[in-house]
Amino acid sequence: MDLKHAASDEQFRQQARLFIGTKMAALGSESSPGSDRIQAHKARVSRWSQMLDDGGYLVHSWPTEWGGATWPRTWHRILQDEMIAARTPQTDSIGVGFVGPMLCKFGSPAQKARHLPRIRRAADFWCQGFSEAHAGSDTMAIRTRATRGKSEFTVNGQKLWTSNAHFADMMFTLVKSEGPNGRPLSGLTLLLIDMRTPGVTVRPVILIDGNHLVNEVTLDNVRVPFENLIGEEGKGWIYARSILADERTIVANLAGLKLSLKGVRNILSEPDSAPVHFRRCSTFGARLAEIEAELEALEFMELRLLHAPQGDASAQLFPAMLKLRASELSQKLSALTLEALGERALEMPGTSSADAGMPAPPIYFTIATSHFLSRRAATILGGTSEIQRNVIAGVGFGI
Amino acid sequence: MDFSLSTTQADLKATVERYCTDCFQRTSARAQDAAPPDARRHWEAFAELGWLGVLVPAELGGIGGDLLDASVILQEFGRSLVVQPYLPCAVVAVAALVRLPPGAVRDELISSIVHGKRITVLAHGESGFADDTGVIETSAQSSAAGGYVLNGRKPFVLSGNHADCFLVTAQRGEAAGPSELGVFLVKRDAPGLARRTFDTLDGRGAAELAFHDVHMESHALLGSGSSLTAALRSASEHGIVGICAEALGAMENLVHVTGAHLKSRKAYGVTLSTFQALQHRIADMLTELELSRSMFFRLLASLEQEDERLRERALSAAKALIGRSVKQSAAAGVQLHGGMGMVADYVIGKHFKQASMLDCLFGNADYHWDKCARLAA
Repeated sequence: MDLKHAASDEQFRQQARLFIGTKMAALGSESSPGSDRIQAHKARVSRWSQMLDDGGYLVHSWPTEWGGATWPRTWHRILQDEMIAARTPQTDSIGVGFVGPMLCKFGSPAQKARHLPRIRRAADFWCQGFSEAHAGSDTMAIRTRATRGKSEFTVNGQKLWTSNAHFADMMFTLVKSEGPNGRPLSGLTLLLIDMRTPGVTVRPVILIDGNHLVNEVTLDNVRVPFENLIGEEGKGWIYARSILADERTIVANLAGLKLSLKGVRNILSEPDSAPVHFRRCSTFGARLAEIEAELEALEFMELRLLHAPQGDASAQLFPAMLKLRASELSQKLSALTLEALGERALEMPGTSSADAGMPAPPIYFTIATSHFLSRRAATILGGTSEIQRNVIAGVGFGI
Repeated sequence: MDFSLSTTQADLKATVERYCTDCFQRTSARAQDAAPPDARRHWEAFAELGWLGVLVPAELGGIGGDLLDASVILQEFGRSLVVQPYLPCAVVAVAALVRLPPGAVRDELISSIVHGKRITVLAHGESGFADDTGVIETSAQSSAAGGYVLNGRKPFVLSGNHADCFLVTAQRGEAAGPSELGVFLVKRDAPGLARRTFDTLDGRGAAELAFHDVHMESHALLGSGSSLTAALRSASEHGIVGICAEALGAMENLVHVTGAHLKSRKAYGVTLSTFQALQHRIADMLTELELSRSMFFRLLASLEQEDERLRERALSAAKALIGRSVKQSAAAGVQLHGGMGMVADYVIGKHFKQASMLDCLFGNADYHWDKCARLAA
């Protein structure tokens, strides 16, 4: 047993930190977006993605023949953690983390040649059209269907909860199709759809935090060329699941949770933020201590996952456990923060209207509110807690 | 013992329920109410129906009801996510006013509240946290010309965005001398009063108030000393009981809607209610609701108590337990709805946001558990 971090891991961390620091300085702060916030955001993400790609820090998890790195598993995690700690701009995680690896593994040569370089340059932004109103956890209940024409599919249906569809250039989507013999297939089919194709309509779905993140995408006789079919019809969900197996570790986001915890401790030491008697409140300190301890335990569970030998059963078990407990923990932390801040955290962000001379309140109140509301989805997205428990019982006990 | 409502109370409940169903659509995906809360039509209707005078004695123009009558109304409002300033004005502010010394200003104010002419709310706490040991720094210095000059700040005044006037507590006295707490009537358009209004999680709204040399006539002082202490205590008690009643109504609706969802929503070819794990979740939600309801009855019974310490403990225990229950139930309601639970326009997400308000207002669960522990010591 050796419970020390490898020296090479620490070296890599320093290297990554230096690179990130240098590039963040070169990127500069966000400029005033002017009239088009979305375009400004996309331009910034593109610039940042290109900087990362030039340094070999964007597609490191792809197969090596497509630009991936031969890193130990810990390094992928360390880079992610350093980027979160440095609050770097997001990259297009669906393109880089999902579509890219999927095309590497299952795409045709033409699809790889066309899309992989564009993903690396963030020339296209991607969205994931899986869920529907009647198909959330139950992916096989998808109803969107593709009928075969001479040279293309015609797609009809509606996707829901599609993050970023309102500015995505491309969507990869699961549909029911009939197969070359015209008989309906029991499996699902994976298609790439250009969001500018006639018949694609995107409608915002506003969530309880007041933000526009997800959408409803209606597909009305949308023509999709055969060259946009990935692999074989009917095998789409099998392809997607093989990539999703890694997605859970990303969704666990322990680094984000650690950052939040640090932020909460800072806020609570502000003199005006939480009344002194509440800080002295016996249950509050204990609750915070419990959250910190559980996060420490989860960090070590993640280390066990990253260092598990090939074929070890923990590789199947720990991702579900990490997602389950990290998501619940992030909700506990955001709830505790809201409660600690009292009445002033009951304010809905962006609704303030002040008479002249009224100073703006400290921003951490509405940040706490916003975070509390958006984190309510943590146990629903990326595989609900109920599904994670099913996986754990299945893998752990064969139930 | 008899836990049922009287005929009058049952009629009141039915009337309020009918009004809410007609005017405040509970499960609709559309906006709850076409007219924004500051269009007074609902408030005027409440006045006509006598609801604004529920806690006002007949001799002052009200219907001479009690906290249980007000609770019947509040429970329906909680169920239907009503955002009108009923609790802070017709319950909390009125509870304070009826215990202040009679006088022309006070009596006229009560009458105007009952008739729906003026929305008045209490602007008291300054820590931004329901803290009954908190210091009041807002000051009302005697002015040479007679009257007072008000300076200070109230960071969170529930429904302060809709109020026409405020009952502001301030330290009253000479510049360097002793002071005692007084309560003053301040109009919304008083020179020197600055407001910052904002929406709250549940849509009720609130305001932050700042007073810069606000000049008040001497008759703006409505009470001080021991009558004010009693009035503020009563206001706080009414607030706690009232918010617990709202929480009960909220839980009833969210448990009902979630149960209906489990019975109709399908996944993997069967309704969600087929899954035992989910049956257990909804069973827990229903049990919490009935536990909270039982605690609410206990709270009403405890208000007959003479012993102040026992009353305080009963109030804190109920507030903590019911606050905890409504938050847990609402979170479970969202989880059991999946993505739909996160949608701004759908009722379950609205109850989730409402639940955080109901727990936080008048002291959250942590605060009250701590208080219970201290009272027991």
